Amino acid sequence: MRFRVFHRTRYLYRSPVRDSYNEVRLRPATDDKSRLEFFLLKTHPPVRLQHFRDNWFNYVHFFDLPEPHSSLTIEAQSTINTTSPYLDGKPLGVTFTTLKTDLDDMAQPFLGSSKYVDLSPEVWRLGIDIREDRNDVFEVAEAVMHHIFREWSYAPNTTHAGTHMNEVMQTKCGVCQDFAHVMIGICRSLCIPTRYVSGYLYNGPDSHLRGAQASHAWCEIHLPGKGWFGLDPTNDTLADERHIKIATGRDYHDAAPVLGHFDGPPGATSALQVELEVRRMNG
Amino acid sequence: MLSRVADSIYWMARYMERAENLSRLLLSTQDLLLDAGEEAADESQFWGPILMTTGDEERYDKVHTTIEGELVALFLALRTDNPNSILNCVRAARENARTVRDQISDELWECINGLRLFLESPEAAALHQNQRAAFYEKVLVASYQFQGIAASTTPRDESWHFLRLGLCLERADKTTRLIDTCSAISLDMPPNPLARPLRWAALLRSSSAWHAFQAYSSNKLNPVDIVEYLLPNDTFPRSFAWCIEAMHTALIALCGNGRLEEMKVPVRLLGRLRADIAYITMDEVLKEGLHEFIDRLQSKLNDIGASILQTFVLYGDSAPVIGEASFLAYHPKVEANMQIQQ
Amino acid sequence: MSSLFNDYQPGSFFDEMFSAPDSARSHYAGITGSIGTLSPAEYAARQRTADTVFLRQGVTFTVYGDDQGTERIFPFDLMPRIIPHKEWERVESGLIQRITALNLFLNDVYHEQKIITDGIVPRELVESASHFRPEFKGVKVPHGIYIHICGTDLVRDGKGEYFVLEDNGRCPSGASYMLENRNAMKRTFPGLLQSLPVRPVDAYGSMLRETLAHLAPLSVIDPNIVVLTPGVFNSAYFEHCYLAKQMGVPIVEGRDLVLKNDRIFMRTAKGLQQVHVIYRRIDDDFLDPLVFRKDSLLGVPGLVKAYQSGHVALANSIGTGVADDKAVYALVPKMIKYYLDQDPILPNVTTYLGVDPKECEYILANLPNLVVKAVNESGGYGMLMGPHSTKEEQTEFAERIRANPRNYIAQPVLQLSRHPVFQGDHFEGRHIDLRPYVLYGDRIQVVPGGLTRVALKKGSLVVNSSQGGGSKDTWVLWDDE
Repeated sequence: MRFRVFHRTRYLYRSPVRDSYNEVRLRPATDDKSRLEFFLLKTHPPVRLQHFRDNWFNYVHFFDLPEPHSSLTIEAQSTINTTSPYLDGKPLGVTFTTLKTDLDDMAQPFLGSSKYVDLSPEVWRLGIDIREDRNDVFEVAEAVMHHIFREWSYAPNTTHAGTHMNEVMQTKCGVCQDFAHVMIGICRSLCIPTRYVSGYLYNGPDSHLRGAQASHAWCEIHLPGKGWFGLDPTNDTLADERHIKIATGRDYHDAAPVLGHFDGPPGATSALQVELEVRRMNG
Repeated sequence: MLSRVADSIYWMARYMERAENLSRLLLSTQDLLLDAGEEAADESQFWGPILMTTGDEERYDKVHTTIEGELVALFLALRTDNPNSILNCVRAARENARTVRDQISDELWECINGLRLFLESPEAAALHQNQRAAFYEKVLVASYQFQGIAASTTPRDESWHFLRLGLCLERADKTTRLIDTCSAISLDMPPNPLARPLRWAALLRSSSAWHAFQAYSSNKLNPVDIVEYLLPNDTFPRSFAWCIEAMHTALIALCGNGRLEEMKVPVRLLGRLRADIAYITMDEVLKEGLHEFIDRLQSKLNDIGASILQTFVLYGDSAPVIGEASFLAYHPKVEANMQIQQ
Repeated sequence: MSSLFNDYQPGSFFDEMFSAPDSARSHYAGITGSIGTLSPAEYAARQRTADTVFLRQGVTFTVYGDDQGTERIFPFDLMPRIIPHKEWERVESGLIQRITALNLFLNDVYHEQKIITDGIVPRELVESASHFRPEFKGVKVPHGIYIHICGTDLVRDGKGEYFVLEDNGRCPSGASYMLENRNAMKRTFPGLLQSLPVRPVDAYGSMLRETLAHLAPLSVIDPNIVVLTPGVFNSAYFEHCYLAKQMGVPIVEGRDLVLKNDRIFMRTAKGLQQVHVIYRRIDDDFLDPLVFRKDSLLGVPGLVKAYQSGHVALANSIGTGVADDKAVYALVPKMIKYYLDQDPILPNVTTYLGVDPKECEYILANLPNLVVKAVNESGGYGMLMGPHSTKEEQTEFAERIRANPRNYIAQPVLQLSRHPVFQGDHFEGRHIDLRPYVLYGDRIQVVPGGLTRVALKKGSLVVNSSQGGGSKDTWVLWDDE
């Protein structure tokens, strides 16, 4: 499917701030499943943009804004062509045994705790309960996804960008970012390499999938010899061609669309406006 | 509507009407001469008052030393050095139309532009030379077309009202001037019933009122009746009263009537003139003297014309501002330099 | 099969329609199958129908230097130029990238001038550009956008590759012809337009209005927008009226506007009415006699002050001409790299700068093979077409370049692509370019298509309307996959 994405984030400051440094991950990822045809990133006030590839091969654009400014707009436009990784059906047949023996080095970082993910005993116990006696890794991952969808309630404004997974385990409510963290935690405690995916979700002209009002998040598990496969616990669905991948990492912190800091008077907090449009195109 | 646009539409209509009146006046004078018999020997008697009507005596005297029919007719029709000639009136109407071409109908533009193209062509000069009546009739027909097209293609918004204002003001002015050319002649019925009151007949013809008046008056050509028909009577669409009424209606449509304190100057002046003319008797007119009365009307018309320009076009920057901008309250939501993924 | 195009010779150029004689490119298949079957007489009759439409609509421009102010019809060639979907997407992406970079550049040079301090663009080059407005430095413009309406001229070379020839960031004209060309096509070939997936352009008026409304001060809900024209004697007056009508906004002249309390009002018959956004079709120089040319009668005294105070917005902003400077043009690829950290999608034409001593030497040594252009001229004026010039002209230009190298650039002669154009009773190839229109409001939008200009004189490379050019309708196709 081809999509045109328009994503504008605007930070408004009560009084002018200065020395802002920001890293943004807004360039859709390209791999054998998706092709980026057009991408344009710009800011207001205008800055000089530069980029690097981070540890996880994400494109990171960064910029300095030393002059005082009372708002910052970051606007990304892209045209992307996606295909579903599930065209050949579900990647069944990988057992927990092969998971251990054939583990890829590159999957190693996605097995332990990270900034927002904690492999606590509660998570581990929950993982065991969900797995029951199943031995197929993908089936188990799906079961984890179903479980989260069933037991957690989708409740915007109950959490914030910096909410830790442990808190979500208690409250059992949150948004996609939180569900992704919980799923990552459970899967990792079962020794399934799992990573966080930041991206966009095409909502369709009339469907009501969650997560299309802001940028979306889900997770991907790694199956030796088969690659990464996405699961979206927020919508209880496999991440197919409607899921447009931007960045991946251990958790939100690695893949967040915008991370930045600035000098301003204490509490000179900002207002945030997000405008997101994902349109399906011909061809 | 922009003031400039209103102004151009107003003058476009005025100049077209001026060209029409001039054509009719020249045509009826020519006819009058044919009927005048021996009197016609002294042409200047007939052509002199015409120059007076158009207010071009001085300008004419600069160019010509004698008043001759041929010269006067050419001077008023096609001379380019006479700013009030038919040709120059149509040119002025066309220039005004051109600046607002996008605001008037294509048909209206083509009508004015077509007339200008004709008047500037050698055919026009030839026609004026050889078949003068046909020339004047051609201008008259074009002007009727202009009015017909205007009436059927102009939306009844400000454009229409300004068009009406220009047209009726010009017409009222010309009607008074025409009557004034006769004000020196006795208003009594001629003692000899066979003698034809040529001038009065010409006055009716110059106002296109000949047939209408015949139907209206049983008293045939009683001069007082004629004056009454063309001044305070509001049935005939070239009479002074009719023009004033039409202007008053247009003005009220433009800026309302309202209470006296809030009333715009031209509305007040016109309302007063309209009442004055509606309730005056011919005895009063004659007592004041026809010329003096007409003089007074003209000075009032001038005041009204000036006040229209002042109110709609030339007003200063201290004029009122329309509507105040409405403001939207703006309530930003507070968060950090991150953004949650939902 | 007998066809109107049987004897057509694409020649050695890149032909938009034919890859070889009798072999039409696939996106023209719909046309060869229908128009191709007409007889020359039938086709000529259709062309006459179209001409009549233009005459009746009064689609004209005024030719200067003619004291009658003659209005002429912009010659229209019925045969449409077709751009396939994929090709257009690339053009569109390139234009969006370019207008973004140009706006970032303008914002930068009128504020911090980081691109200058970082050594990417020489200070002298920017500050010596004749349309640079130092008095405008530090002025905040709405949303930081300078060029809201851009008409970028694109050409294709002998291989069919698209190049940017120039950016028109001041008052680009021609959008009305684009709209009227489509109307004429609708009247002449209604069935053809229906049967092919041609993207419509008629939303331009509402897009333009939206773009302009976006500039209004935030507090205004329903802004008053006007088109500011120099007046009826301007060559593009028809277009000004046309666009005002399409948008449903008044067309005003300088004398219709007044300044009061740092705000701009228009004089209406009902009184003074505040104006929030001005789509100005007057050059900077004439905009405000208090700031720019003192003798200007076309502008509005105090307009710049009102603009600076934020009570009224101008489109395009002031000082955008610095980006039109042909020497600055040469640096746009560097700007794209600097601001956007990307490579240009649409390349520039190779450009030699007179201001660079080495390149200047090259220009002088190769005059017969180059096109030399004065940096601030447009419309095909102030140019030397090397291969078509005489020795005297070359000597004269060489002197001019030596006297003021900053004022000249040179480019290799491009073999512009050609398109079949109807000539009496048959088709001949003529060189064409393309001016798409980009609107920068809340979002950047590119009108699908634009104005294809044709050099009607045989062999001529000059497409400007003032120099014997004509135009064609431009059809961008929807993807039919």
